[in-house]
Amino acid sequence: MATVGDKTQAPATAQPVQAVRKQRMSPRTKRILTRILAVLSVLVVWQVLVALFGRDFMATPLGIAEAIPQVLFNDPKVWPGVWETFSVVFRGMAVSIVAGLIIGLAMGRIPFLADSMAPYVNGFYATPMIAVLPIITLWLGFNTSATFALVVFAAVPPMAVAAWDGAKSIPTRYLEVAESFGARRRDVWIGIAIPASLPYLLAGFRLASGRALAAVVIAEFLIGTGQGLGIHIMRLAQNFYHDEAIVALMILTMVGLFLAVGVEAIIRRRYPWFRVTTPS
Amino acid sequence: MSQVATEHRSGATPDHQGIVVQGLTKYYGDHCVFKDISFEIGPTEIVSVVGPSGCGKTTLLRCLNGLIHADEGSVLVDGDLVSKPRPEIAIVFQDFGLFPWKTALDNVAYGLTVRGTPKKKARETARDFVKLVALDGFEERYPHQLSGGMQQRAGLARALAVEPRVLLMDEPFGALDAQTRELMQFELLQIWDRNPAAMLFVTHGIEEAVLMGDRVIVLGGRPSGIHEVVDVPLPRPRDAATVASPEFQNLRSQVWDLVMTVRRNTAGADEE
Repeated sequence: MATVGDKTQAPATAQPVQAVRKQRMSPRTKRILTRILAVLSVLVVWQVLVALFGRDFMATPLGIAEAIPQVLFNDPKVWPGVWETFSVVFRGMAVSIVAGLIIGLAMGRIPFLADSMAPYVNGFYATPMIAVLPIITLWLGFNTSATFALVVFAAVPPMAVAAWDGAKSIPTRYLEVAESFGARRRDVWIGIAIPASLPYLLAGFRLASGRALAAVVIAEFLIGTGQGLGIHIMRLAQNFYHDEAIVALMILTMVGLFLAVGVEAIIRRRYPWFRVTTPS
Repeated sequence: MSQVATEHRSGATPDHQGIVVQGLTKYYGDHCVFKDISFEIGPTEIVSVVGPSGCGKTTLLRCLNGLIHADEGSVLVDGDLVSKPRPEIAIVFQDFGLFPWKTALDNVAYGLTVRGTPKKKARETARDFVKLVALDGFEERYPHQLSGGMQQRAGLARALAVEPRVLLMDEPFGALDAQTRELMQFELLQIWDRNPAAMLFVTHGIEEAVLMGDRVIVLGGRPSGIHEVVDVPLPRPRDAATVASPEFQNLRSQVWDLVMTVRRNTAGADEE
């Protein structure tokens, strides 16, 4: 904090020194420092504000820090909750990826299917997922099947739209090369359509996993009978365990971050050609 | 022209008849790309095609492969009508057409795997062709890690690996820098001397057309047609010394004059 003050008040003569320091710090270090500073300053402001104006039960950064080991090691409901919630998310995502891929690629390659499926895909994408939950529970009951169904409902449309866009934008050169060497339909679908649209698929995966996490928590809240992490957070908060609720929330966030950022990072590292999406 | 073709064909075995094009005509909507094109390429002959931009060189090449269907006329390879891409015809593309998600070796093996060769066997064969085009040591690189010249070596190896009887070259060196292009021309000639096949060589480069071809077809007019066929009786194997010979220079300027005449007669063709 002190350095920020110094900077604004520093006389013009101090600038050459700063320029040298800037050059020495790599952009990466700078970025990381900026992020740490941003997080720390918010935490400090938070702690101070609650201390000045807040009530006793409100969560504070220090309280959360104390609650972390408490929740991770002493709360018997957290890990079963994590398991229940994320097994639904991962199963739902697995089904959605396969279904979205098949629907989207087929739509991208077969104009008739694109015309006939577009209203459904776009319509389901636009439907607020929370609004279909009453119907789903009516069909499937108040249980994890309904949660699973909502996750699939939330995650299939973005996957399908991404795969559709990807399949539409396969460079015709790739298809021409495949055809000129006598590739059969299967070779084109698996050998070309999927790798050529991988950047689109990843973008779709990112959107879909975000929606899947939102769906699972919404479903747990509204169904209310499960033991998942979402409903656990709700119960902790309602019983004034706000620090603990936030720790549980952070577990959700971490998994969300991994799905949104981590998966793409792994794929980028695993496939060095990934950045090359257009023919050379 | 037919006389020349017969002469070149005479050495062929009955099932290696090269390629015979008869009365080929192609429309895009009402626009006639080319009309009534006929020529032959013997089984061990190279025919170059030059002409102004937009004269349908590339479309013609795609018709020969069966990627595009002509509206009239026929293409025969070894006596069989070509209606869809066939294993004995391979294309080398101007922009290489390599798959960025495959290594150089897997790109070279592509034609073989697509034809059902087991992956291991295909990679073994591909290795030989990687050596043939002097790309060994770069088998595991991805296309974006290779220079333009190396990428086209891979593109050439991929086409050669399926051991085609007909090679269709679509301005194969057009995207390369001048030095690499020259180098690749001579290497292609050497490779061809060892594994001769019928080759159609579409190019913008007049010198390149004369250097590669046994004949040079000059396309032009509206709609496009064969304006002239120039015989190139230069001895093979051809190399850098060929280019320096006065015969080569004479032929080059002869083709140059023809192309310039065609350009004047096809005013506006460049704008397409």
